[in-house]
Parts: sequence; C-alpha cells; structure tokens
Amino acid sequence: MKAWFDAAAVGLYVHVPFCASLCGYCDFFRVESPGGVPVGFEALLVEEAALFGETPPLQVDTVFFGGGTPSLLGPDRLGRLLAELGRVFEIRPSAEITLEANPETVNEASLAGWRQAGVTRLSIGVQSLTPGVLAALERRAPAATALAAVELAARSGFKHLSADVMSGVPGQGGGDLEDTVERLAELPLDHLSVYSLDLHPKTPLWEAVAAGNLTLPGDDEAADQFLAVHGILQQRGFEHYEVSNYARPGGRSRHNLRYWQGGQTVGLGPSAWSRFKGRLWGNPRSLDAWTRRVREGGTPPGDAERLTPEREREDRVIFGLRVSDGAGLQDLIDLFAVDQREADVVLKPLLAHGYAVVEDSRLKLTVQGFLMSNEVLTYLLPRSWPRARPEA
Amino acid sequence: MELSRIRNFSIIAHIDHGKTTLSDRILEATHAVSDREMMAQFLDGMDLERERGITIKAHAVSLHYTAKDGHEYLFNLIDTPGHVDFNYEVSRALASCDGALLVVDASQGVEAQTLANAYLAVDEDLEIIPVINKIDLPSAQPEHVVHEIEEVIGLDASGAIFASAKERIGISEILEAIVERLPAPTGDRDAPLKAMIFDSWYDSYRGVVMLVRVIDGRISLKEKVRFMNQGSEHDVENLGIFTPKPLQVKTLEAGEVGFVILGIKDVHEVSIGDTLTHPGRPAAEAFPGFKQIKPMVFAGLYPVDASDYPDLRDALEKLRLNDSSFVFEPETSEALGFGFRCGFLGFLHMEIIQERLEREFNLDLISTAPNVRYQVLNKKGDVVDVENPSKLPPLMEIEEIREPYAAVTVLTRAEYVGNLLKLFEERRGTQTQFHYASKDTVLLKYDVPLNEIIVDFYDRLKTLSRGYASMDYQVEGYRAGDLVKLDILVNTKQVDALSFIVHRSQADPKGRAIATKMKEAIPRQLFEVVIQAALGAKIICRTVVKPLRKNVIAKCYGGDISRKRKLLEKQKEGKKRMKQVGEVQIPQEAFLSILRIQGDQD
Repeated sequence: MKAWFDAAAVGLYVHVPFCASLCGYCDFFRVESPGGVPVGFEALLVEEAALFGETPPLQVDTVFFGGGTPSLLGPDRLGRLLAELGRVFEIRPSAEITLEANPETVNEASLAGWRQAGVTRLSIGVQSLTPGVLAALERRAPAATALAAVELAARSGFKHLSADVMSGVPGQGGGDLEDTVERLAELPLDHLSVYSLDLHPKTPLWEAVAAGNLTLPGDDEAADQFLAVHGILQQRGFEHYEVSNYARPGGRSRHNLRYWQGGQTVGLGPSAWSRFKGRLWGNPRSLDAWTRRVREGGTPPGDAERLTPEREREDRVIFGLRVSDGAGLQDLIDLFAVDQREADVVLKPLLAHGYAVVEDSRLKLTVQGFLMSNEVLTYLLPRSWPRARPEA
Repeated sequence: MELSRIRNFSIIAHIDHGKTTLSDRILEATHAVSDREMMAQFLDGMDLERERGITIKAHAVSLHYTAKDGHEYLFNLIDTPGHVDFNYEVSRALASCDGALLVVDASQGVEAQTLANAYLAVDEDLEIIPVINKIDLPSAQPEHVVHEIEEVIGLDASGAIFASAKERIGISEILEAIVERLPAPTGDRDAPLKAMIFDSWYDSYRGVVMLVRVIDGRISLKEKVRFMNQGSEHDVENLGIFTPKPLQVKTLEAGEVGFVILGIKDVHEVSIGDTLTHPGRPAAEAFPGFKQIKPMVFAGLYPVDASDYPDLRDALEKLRLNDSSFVFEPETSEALGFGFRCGFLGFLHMEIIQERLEREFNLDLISTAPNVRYQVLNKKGDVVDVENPSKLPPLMEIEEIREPYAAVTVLTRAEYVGNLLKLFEERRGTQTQFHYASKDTVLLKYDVPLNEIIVDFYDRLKTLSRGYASMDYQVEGYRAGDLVKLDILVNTKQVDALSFIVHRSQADPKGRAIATKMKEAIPRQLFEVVIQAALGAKIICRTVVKPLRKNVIAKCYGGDISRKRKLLEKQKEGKKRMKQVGEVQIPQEAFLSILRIQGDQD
C-alpha cells in the first residue's frame, strides 16, 4: 500500500467555528458571528498549540483549516496564524495546507493572499448547483457564485482544488445531483467530496423532516444516486478513493487520509479532535469550556481514551475500509480470532456478493461495499464487540 | 373441631364472575383479616394472577364463624385454580370439599367454565349452593340466570341466593346457607390415616408445603408418614392451618383441612392427589382419583443472547421450584444454539410461564412454536413419544403418527354459533354435541386435535364471539392422523427450531403463510435472505428478503471517529438481539411468525 503521509510527522487540524450565518443541516460545532472571527481567537489557538511544544519541534506535513468558516479569517490573519504555529511546530515546506472556503469569501484578492500565506489547497463548499437544493440547505451563495469561485481559484494558481457536494437532500432529484456533479467535473478541480446528507438530530433540517415538512429520498433512491455519481466521476478520471471522496491522480487529501488510516493528528480549537501518542480526545464543544481547557493547560486531558493495540487494530479495520486501499488481511485475521472465526469463511460471502475484493493482501470494499459499509463492518466485527474489548 | 361443626367448601365460578370478591367478603365477615389487609384481594398471591384475573395456586383458609344457631363453626374455604389447563388440580381441590358455592354473574349468565367446574363438583358428589352475584348491576337478570342454571347445568337452582359481593348484599345469607345446607364432613377419626394432598408449593424457608384434607384418622407432628402412590416416607416436620396466617397445630383430624410440611425440597416429589398414611398402620386403599399428570404442550425456549443461557436456566429452576406441572430439559438447536425444551399443562400455562420469564426475570427469549406430545408408531411396532418436531424419526421408519385429542366444551350466545362452527371446522374439529341450552345459549361439544387449540384458539374464540363464548377442555386420548412435518429453510439451510407437525391438508396454506410472515419480519440486511417452506424435498413456497442497499456514514473525519464507533456499536447491539443463521440475522419476531399465522388464516 502506498504511504499517503509520513508516519513520523503529524497532521494539524485547526477549527475555526465562526460563520456569518448558520446552515440548517450542519452539526459541526459552529457559532454565528456576523462580525467575523473575534479578535484574540488566534492567540488562544497559538496558546493551545504551545501545549504540544517539543524540542525538537513536532514535524507537521499536513494542515487543515476547517470550520465553521475558516476563510472568514481573511488572508492576513491566516498568514499570521500559520507563522505563529510555525514557531511551535516544524511545518514542512512540502506540507499540504488546506483551507475550507465558502464561495462568497473567494475573490482575487483573498485567493492571492491565501496563496501568499502558504495555503496549497482550497476546499470550496459548493453543495449544489440547483437553486431549490441550495435553499433547502439554507446556503446563501447562488450557484453562479460557487462556479465562479472555483474557476477563479484555478486561474489564480491553486493546483489542488476541492468542492463539496451534497446528495440525498430533500427535494433533490437524481437529475439535479448528476447535473451538479457533471458540471463540477468539467472544472479544473482535482478533488470532489460527495456527501449523502446525514440528518443530525436537533438541526433545523432534522426538525423539518421530523415534522413532515420535508421528505428525504429513500435508501434505494439514495443508493441509486450514489452509484450514478460514482459512474460519472469514474468516467471523468476521478478515483473513488474514500466512501464520499473522489480525486484525480495526485489529488487525494493527505490530511484526511491520516484520519482513515490511523495517522497522528493534533486538533486545535473548540471541538477539534486529536489522536496523538496513543490517546484520542476531543476538545470541548463550547468556546468558554475550550478557553478554560487551554488556560488550564494539560494535554492530553484526563478523559482521553487510551488506544490499546487492539483498539488501534479495530480502528485500522473500521476506518481503513472507508478507503479504497482497504484494510490489511492480517488485521482482519487477528480480529476474527477473537471469536474463533476463519477468515476464508467470513470473507467468502462478502466477496461472492461483490461487496469486497482481496488484492495485495488487503480487503478492499467495492462501491457496493462502500454503500453498505456499516453492515459490512458489523458483519466483520466479532459478535462480542465492543464488549469483549480488553480494557486499557 | 367436632365433625358436625366443620364445613369444607369451594367457590366455583367463571373468570370475573366474582369469586375473589366473595372470598374476601367471607374472610372479612369471619374477621380473618383486618380491613387494611383487605386492601389487596387476599387469595390472589401473584401480581400476574391479579392482572389476568385468574388464580393459579389453590389455597385453603380456616375460618371461625358463629352462626345464628349460636354455635361456632369451622369453615375451610378451599380455593381452586381458575383456568382450563388445571382441570385435574381443580378436581382434587373439589374432592377435598363437601360442598361448593356456584357463583354466576347475574348479567353474564352460565359460561363454559361454570359448567365444567359444576360438573366436576357434581362428580365429586358435592352439595351445591347457587349464588347469583352482581345483582346490583343494571344489566343483572338474576331470574333469567336461575333459569339458565337449571336448563344448562341441570341443577335445581330454586334455592339460589341473590348477592352482590361488591355491595355486601346477601353475604350473611350465604354464610348461614353454608352452615345449614352444606353437609358436614364424614370420616372415622379412629381409622388408619388417609389424607389427600390437593395442593403443594415450594416455600424457600420451609421447603415443600402441602395442603391436605384428612379423610380418616389423624396426622400429628413428628410422626412418620408414607405417600401411598409414590411410596416414599417422611417425618412430619410441621403441621398447621392458614387463618389465613399460618398457625401450627399438633394434630389434624378427619374432616379437617390444613398444611403438612415433610422437609421435602423438590415440589416434583409430591404428586397432587396422592394420599398420606401411616406406614405402621396403613389405610387399606388410597383416596380414589389419583392421576400422574404429564405436560401436554411443549415449546423450545432459547435466550436471544447466548450469554443469557445460565440466567435462563436459573429462572426456569426458580419457576419449576414452585410449579409441579412445569418441566424442562436442556436442548440444542442448530439454529438457536443452547436452550430448553419446556413442558406445560396447556397453552395458558405456557403463556404465563413465558410472560413471567420475560417480566420477572427480564430475559429476551425466542420461543419455538408450541406443539403437543405426539406418539409415533414405527415400523418395528414400537410407540415412541415425540415432544419436538425436529426429532421426528425419518419418514420411512414411521408407520403412523398419533396426536392427542381434546374434548372441547363451548357455551356461546346463539348469534355467534356460525362463526364458531367455522372456527372448529378450520381446526379439524368433529362435532359431538349441538344443543340449545336455552333460547339464546348454545352448548357446543367438539373433539379437536389438541395441537389445533394450543395456538391462538382461545383468543379467536373470544374475538369471533365478541367475548360471549367461553370454553373448557379436557385431553382425551390419542388418534392417528395424516400428519406431516413442515420444514422452514433459510438460505437453503433448514432451521430446526421452525419445523412443525401439521395435518397434510394444512401444510400448503400454513407453509405459505409462514414464509410470507417471515419475509415481513426479517429486515433487509447485508445478504439476501431466501425463505422456503418444504415438505420433505418438495418446496411449497419461497419468499425473498432483498439485501439492503445503503447503510453508511457519509462523513467521517477527526471528530466523527468516536461517533462512527458509537453508531456501529449501536447497530452491532441491535444485531445481537437477532439470531445468526448462517450469514444472516433473524429477529425474534420472525420466529414468532408461526404463532401468528393461524389468526390471519381465519
């Protein structure tokens, strides 16, 4: 298997939770802040980063600014923040530095500024090019703005450009989604994320569906949409490299591959997660609580989960199978040994039904397998799981 | 107490006709219990019994009543189990009495159980006092009910007492009638001991407690006694009466009723109807009417989660401790893993046990379809009992399969007769009696294969008659039938636990109904589920549960790792509640499909 990231380095995630206005489907931790990112937020991030200070400094080869709307920071503040972080960590010159950007924050000046600041990759939240779907998602930018943003970004020299698209949105016909994906595939993007909408409880969209005001497409329809997108993008040279992610050769998100393949990541900002030195923990989902946590110092926090070798193995299977590289057969064999199952016997029906293939000593899910990954995983995991997990 | 001052009696009634309330009134009038204790209906021990309005355990309460003649009398009120599966126990409780109050609801009239129990009382030569209860109800028709008792049961009801136990109307008349009209017990107190056991249960402190009626002689503390039918000998550890609180006595004499404790730990060592005597001076013969009661209805019970097996075993042990008619033994099913084959007296008994297992012991269970005990005559000429359809010998070895039949008595309002005739026809019944008991009451008697009434018969009867029909049954012998074994295959694998024996004429519709029901009950999942109903090698019906197409978490990044794991854990837990058959998961619900098909066919 190709190594997509350097195991000796860490990935750095920075959560900027502020949004000009809130979208009804989103359940990331975010705060409405029409005045932009409050002054002093970056200082707290840097303070938190200092908790990870080491000599020699930690090597960072991917940085991801997510949100919220991190592009609200503007190029100058982002540049200063990256420079400050560079004093705590050693951010390699070859690092992938991704910024999530809303179409309306993209213009010639901001693009030039972000490039100047060191951003190498932009992920633009397009969601859809269909007006009705954008309305259901409460997205402010019209389709034209989104298309213009992508084109402008490509012209300004960003080689790594990604767009986010939503499927399974109430009111979205299969044709609408295919049209959006086809039009985006013609743009100079090297990456597309196509998420089927997960309704998160308590979000306004969830409430609207629960009240019967909106109807979600059924699972069969959603599956058809998924397969249609897969077909369109494969034809246009994209590889379906993760359940919801497509990339042209060289376009995969190295930072996100860390999450799926068990690499070390350090998360800064409220709600950000870290998987670092055998521990897994999340920051508080509240600005105040996070501020207190930073001020009190102490990383990892006392409630961090300890990642035993068994747990790491499970995660390599559970999350590795999200990626087209799949999971190593030896990990699966070890997992099956927990309840005395034979790999041949367990895997045979999966292969026979076309959910997976075995290649290079790895189990890899097919597109049908991706669609059914929860079912495949509950099938693969020991019957006693998670109860039989040895305690740390 | 001298014999002439003792009255041993039972109250016999249909469910809900007011037996419990009347018992309470009698206890109250004899000051057996304080008002505060009266809050709860005293004779019903268990919550479940109260909820179902039936009394499962019989009790005997000794009460002192001062009659208008100025004398004090000893009343032994003997409670009888109130449901159809316990015919034999009822007959033994009645045999311990000399008289009975026949309680009939003034608005409901005579029902099948009233009839059945009244006949049992007549069989035991009991003097019967009809009591027309609930006369305070606006719909009460006491005169009509008197007429009905005479016509339907054939008893002289001219002396019937009109009462309302709830409103305390007629209670003193009843108490006086017990003194005046019920006979005192007879018996020779100097003859060898003869004491009939009419109830027993397990008490965690005292071991097995038996209720006895002393027929002849006397039984005293510390003596050695012998079970005449079963043969073993024990010392009398304790002896007493219930007032209703237990009260120790030194001796119980002929005509008296009380409890005996012999230090026996297993309730199954005591047979209801057996007779106690003294080994040194035994009675010439045991009290007549003893029968060894065998379970008639069987079902496999399996824990949904295999790790609950020890808990299920412990729970069954606890229930068996107190229920001499309940038996079980370990059983292994290819499909369901480790479980138990349980034997019950009848279908209601089975329902009660299953409900208690789930409710009191909090166990998730899969129950196989219940079946009766079949007799198989093989080619070698031997007859073998088969209590589990999957253990039926190979077809070529079978000469004949015999199944038990029940004599079913139904009393119904005439307008529902058509519905019920159809029901009996569907259940392969043969009519033996059709009789207008009165202008608008019909008495039906049928011989029906027992297997046809153990699932969903009682409920159907109630539904088809809007609650106006009542039933009673008695198991009466075996008859050969054209019976076949129907198998259910899931993904071509036979699920042993779903096999059942059925009359050939019903194999096809039942096979279809089950395959369809199971399809509805099995969720779409990773793999296709093919359900087949088969008679030997012949497939009757095939249904398919298509695989699910989408179950995936779309977004999974840093913070979603834990969320994804939690969701998987939840889905995995959900699957643990299902049974794994090959590579597919079958929910409890699907195993119950067999139980659900009969109602739908009607």
